[in-house]
Amino acid sequence: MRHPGLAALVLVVGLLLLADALVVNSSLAELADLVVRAAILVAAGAALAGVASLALRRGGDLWRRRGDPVGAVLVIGGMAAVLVAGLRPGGEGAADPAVGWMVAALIVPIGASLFGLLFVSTLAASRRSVAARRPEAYVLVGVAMVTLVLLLPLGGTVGAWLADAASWTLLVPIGAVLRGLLIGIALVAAVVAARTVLGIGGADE
Amino acid sequence: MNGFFGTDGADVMATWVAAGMTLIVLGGMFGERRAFGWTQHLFAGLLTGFLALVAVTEVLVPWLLAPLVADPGGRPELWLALALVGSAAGVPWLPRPVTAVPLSIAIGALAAFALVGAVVGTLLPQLVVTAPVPGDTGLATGIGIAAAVVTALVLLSFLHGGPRGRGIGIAVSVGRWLLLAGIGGWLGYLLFSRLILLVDRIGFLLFEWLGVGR
Amino acid sequence: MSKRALLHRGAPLVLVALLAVAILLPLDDVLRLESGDETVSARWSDALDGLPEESGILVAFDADLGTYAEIRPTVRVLLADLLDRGGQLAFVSLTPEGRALAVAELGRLARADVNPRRLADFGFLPGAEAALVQLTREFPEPIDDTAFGRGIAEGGFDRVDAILVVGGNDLGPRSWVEQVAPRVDDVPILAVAPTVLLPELIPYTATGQLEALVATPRDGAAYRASVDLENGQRLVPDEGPSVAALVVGILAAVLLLAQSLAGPLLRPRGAESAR
Repeated sequence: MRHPGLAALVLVVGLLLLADALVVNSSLAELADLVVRAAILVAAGAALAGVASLALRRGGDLWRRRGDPVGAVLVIGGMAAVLVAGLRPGGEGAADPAVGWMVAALIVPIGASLFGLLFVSTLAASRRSVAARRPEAYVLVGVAMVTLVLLLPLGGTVGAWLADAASWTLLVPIGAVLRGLLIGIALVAAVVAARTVLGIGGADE
Repeated sequence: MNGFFGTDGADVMATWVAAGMTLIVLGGMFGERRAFGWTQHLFAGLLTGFLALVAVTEVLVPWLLAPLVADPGGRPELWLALALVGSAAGVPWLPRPVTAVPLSIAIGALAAFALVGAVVGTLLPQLVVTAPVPGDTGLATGIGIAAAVVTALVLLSFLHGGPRGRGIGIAVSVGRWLLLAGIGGWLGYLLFSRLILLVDRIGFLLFEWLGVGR
Repeated sequence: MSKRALLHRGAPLVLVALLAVAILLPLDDVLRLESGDETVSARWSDALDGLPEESGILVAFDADLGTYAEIRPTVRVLLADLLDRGGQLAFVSLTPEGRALAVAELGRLARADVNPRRLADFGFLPGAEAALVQLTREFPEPIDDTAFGRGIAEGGFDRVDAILVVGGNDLGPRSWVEQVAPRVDDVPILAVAPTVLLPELIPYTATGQLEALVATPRDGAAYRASVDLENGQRLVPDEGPSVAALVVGILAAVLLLAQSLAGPLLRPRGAESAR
C-alpha cells in the first residue's frame, strides 16, 4: 500500500507542476519554482545517498571479509581518489587537473572499451537468439543483416546505391515503425504518469 | 586520435594507463575475467566518486552551503532546503515518514514532467505529422500513406489482451511483426555503431599508444 | 581446452587482428562512409547559416562514456565549426558522465588556446527533467566568470540563439524536445546523438522539433565532409573511424549472422536434440 501522506504530497506536487505548465500565473510560477529547485536538490541528495550506500556496502564487505576484497578496495579507492583530488584544499572540483587526468586515463578508456566489447557480445547474442529457433529472432536478425549490408561503406556506384538505399530505409519504413513506437511509448508514459500523480495503482512501490 | 592527451609527462603516463585499461577490458573478450572484473570495480568507484564530487561542488556548495556560510540567518528557507537534502541523502537509513517529503517531490515532479513532455512534446506533434499530406507526386503521396499505415499498425501492436475482433487481431499481429522488423533495422545500426566503438579502441592502441602511423 | 572453447576465445582474437590490420590499410580514399542523404548536411548548414553573428549556443553535453567515441569526431567538427563562425559556447551537463566528458572537452579546447571569453561553463545540474525545466526558468551562475556566461545567467534563453544537444544513453535530445522546447520560444534544437537513440529521435526530425540531427555514423561523416574549417581545423584531432576496418567488421558480422540464420534452416529440427 502506498503511504497516504506520500500519496497526498505526490498529488499536490504533481498537480501544482501540471497547473503551472498550463496556466500563466505568477504566484503559481513562484510555487512551482520552489518545487523544481527542491526536486533538483533532492536529486543531488539522492546521488549522495547512492554513493554513500555503495561505499558502506563495499566497506562492510571488506570489514567482514566477504566477496572480492580487491574489488571492494578498487571501488572505495577509486571513489576516494576522485573526491580527494577534487575536494582537497586548493582543488578545483571537477575541473581540477588531477580529476581530469583520472577522467582521461581511467574513466573514459574503461567506459569506451566496455562498449567496444558490445559488438562481439551483441553478435553472439543475436546468434544465440536465432539458435533458439524463434520466428521473431529470424525477422530481427534477418533485417539487421540486410541493414548491415546496406551500411557497407563502399565507394563507387555500388557504394552510392547502398548509401541511398540505407538512407531511404531509415527515413521511410524504419522511420514509420519508430514513429509508431515513439507514440506508443509516449501514450504509455502519459498514462503511467497520470496514474502516479492521481495515486491510482502502486507506481511508487 | 581521441585528443584527450597532450605531450607532457602526465599525458604520456595517462596514455600508458589508458592503454593498459583498454587491454584489460578487451581481454574480457578472450576469457580473462578476473582483471576485467577489477576494472569494472575501479570504474564504478571512480564514476560514483565523480558523481559525489559534482553534486557537492557544483550544486550543494553554490546553491546551499556557500549562501548559508555567508549569511546563516538571512535566508531561512535554505535551512529547510538543507534538511530536504539531508533527508534525501538519508533515504536508505532514515524512517519512512522522514523520507516521504523528498520521495514525493521526486515522484510528483517526475510524473508531472513526464506527462507534460509526453503529451505536448511528443504525442501531439507526432500525431499531426503521421497524417499523410498530398506530396508533389503520386508516388510520394503513396509512400506517405503507406508510412502512416505502418505507424498505425505498430501503434495497434501495443494493444494487449482484452476482447477484439478478427480484423483487429490480424492488424495487431501485422503491427507486431512490423515492429520487430523495425527494431531489426535499428539492431543493424546498433551493431554498426558498436563496431565503430571497437575500432576506435583498437585505433587508440595502434596510433596513440604504439605510435603506428596511419 | 575443447575445440568449442578454443573457437569461442579464438574468434574474437581473429576479428580484432583483422580489424587492426584493416585500420592500417590506406583504403579510406577508395571507400565512402558518408550517407546518401544529402538533406542531413543541408539541414545543418541551413541551421548554422541562420545563426546571428557571435551567436550564443547552449551546448547540452550529456554524451555517455560508452558511446561517445561514435559521435566524438562529429561533435568536435561541430564545435570547431561553431567557433569558426564566431559562435560562443556555453556548456551545461545533466548527467555525471556528460559532465566528465564536458570537462575533458573544455580542457582540450583550453589546451588548443580557444579564447576563454567565448566559452562558458555552467557545470552539472542533477534531476534530469527538473533540471531542464529549471534552466528554462533560471540559469545557475557560471563556474568561470566571463561576460558571455554572465549574460546567459542574467538573460536566460533570451541570450541563447540555439541549443546543441550532445546526447547519450542517459539523457538525450528527446528530453530537450519534450521539456525545453514547449517552454522557450523559437530556440532551435540541434542534436548529435549515438545510434542507440535512433528510435526515439528519427520521428522528431520529421516534425521539425529537431532542426538538425546526426544520429548515425554515416550522417556524421556526411556532415563532416560538408564542413570547410579554417581556424577550427586545429581543434579537430579526430579523422573519424577507419572505413576499411568498418568494411571488414561489417562483412564479418554479416557472415556470422548469415551462417547462424542458414544453420537451423539447413539442419532438420531434430538434429540438435539428437546431437
